[in-house]
This record gives sequence, structure tokens and C-alpha cells, in this order.
Amino acid sequence: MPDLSNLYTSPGSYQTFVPSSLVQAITGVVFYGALLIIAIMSLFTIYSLIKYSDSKPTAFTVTIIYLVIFFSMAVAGMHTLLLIQ
Amino acid sequence: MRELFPGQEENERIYLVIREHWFTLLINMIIWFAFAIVLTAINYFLPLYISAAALAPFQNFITLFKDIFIMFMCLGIFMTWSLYFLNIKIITDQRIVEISYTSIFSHTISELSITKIEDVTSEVAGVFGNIFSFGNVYVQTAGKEERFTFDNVPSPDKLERLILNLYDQRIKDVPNGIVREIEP
Repeated sequence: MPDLSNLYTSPGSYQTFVPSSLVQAITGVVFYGALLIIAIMSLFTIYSLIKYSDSKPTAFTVTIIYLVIFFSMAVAGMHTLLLIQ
Repeated sequence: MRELFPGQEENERIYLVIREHWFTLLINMIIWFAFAIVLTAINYFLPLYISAAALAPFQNFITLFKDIFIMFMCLGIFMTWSLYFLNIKIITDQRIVEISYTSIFSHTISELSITKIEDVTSEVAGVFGNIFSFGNVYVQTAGKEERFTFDNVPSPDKLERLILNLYDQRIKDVPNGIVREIEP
């Protein structure tokens, strides 16, 4: 079983990333760096899309679909990161 | 009334809001889905040729790389669709407006008064253009800007006819070749 103790401290609480090895720390920096770039680009895109689109319902729907995929992948990545020792 | 573009007048009647034909979006999307095919191929062939790739710790690195790859791919698809969706041409009874996004960070809004139109040309070119009925419409103006181009729009012949009809409605010839606008 993978050790997820550095992610979940107690039910309902969430601890930020605390690397347990150098490899995990370096991989974490790369992963969170990529995540940050993607998040910034996503925010700009969502802002432009919602502000300037002629059909707000379509813009909102597509944005929500994108965000669901983005957060799913981000959480999956965070879990995978913890498996790296 | 909802404002579609800056400077829109209250009594201005919008006839058409048009985007590029869906086929152009499809072509852009196919490029992004090619990345998905590459990912699927890596997923399938890598463990066959490098057996260690399927075992820890390398498996986790590969899974993480795939996560980042998919996130970038989704962002690319999202941005491509957003640019397609935001690039619109609006035809009203007074003007033609083009809102053009070259990237998410920059956009230009061009306007052309219906009264300044001199010539409208539609063009359907290529195999897919003929099959799916899309093409370009060129609007020649009297002003400094030589041509106003609608690229890859659906049914260019109908669009051309609409612009000319609006021009006819808007303009009335008067003696000595001088034109005046008809009050709406």
C-alpha cells in the first residue's frame, strides 16, 4: 500500500505537499510548476471566454466541463506524486 | 438589448453573428487529438519494449508525465475552441464588425460601415469547401482598408447576398453619383 500519510493527516483535513525524498521534491516542483502554468493559462482563457463570448450559457458549460477534467487530472497527479519515493 | 460589440447602438438590428465553419475547428482539433494518439501509443508500446516502464518506480513517473501531458492537451483543446468561439463576425443593418482573436491575450475589433461597401465577392475553394459548402467572402471598401475578409464562413454565397441586400436597403442612389443614408 502506498504511504499517503503526508497527504491525509486526519479525516476532513488536508495537508499541503511535504516531500519525503529528494526525488519526490524535484518531481513535485516540476509537477506543480506545470500545474501553475496550466492554471494561469486556464484562468486567462476562462476570463476571456466568459467576458467576451456572445453566448454565456455555452461559455459556462464548456468552462465547467474543462474545469472538471482539469481538477480530476490535477488530483490524480497529486496522488501519483505521493507514490514517488 | 445585450451589447455584442463596443459602440453598438440601441436601434441597431443584428442580422447575423457568424463564425468560421465547424470544419476548420475540426481540423484544429484533429491536430490536438493526434497528441492523444501519441499518448495512447506510448501507453501501449512503452511497456512492451521497456519492461521496467511498467514497474515501480518508473511507472509512477510515466503516469505523472501522462497526467501533465493530458492537462496540457486539454488546455490546448480548450483554448482552440475558445478562440474559435470568440472569433465572430457580426452583420447589422448599419455595419459589419469583425472581432478577431489572434491569441487569448489580444484581440482586434474591425468595423466597416455598410455604406462604404463597393464590391462583395464570395469564393468556395477546395474539395472540403465544396463538400461542406464553406469559403471566403471578400468585401471591397472605399476606405483605406482595401478588403474586409470573412475566412472559411459557411454558405459564402448566402452571406454575400445578405450583405448586398443590406447595402441596397441602406443606400439610395441620388443624382450626381452622391449617396446618402436612408434613415432607419
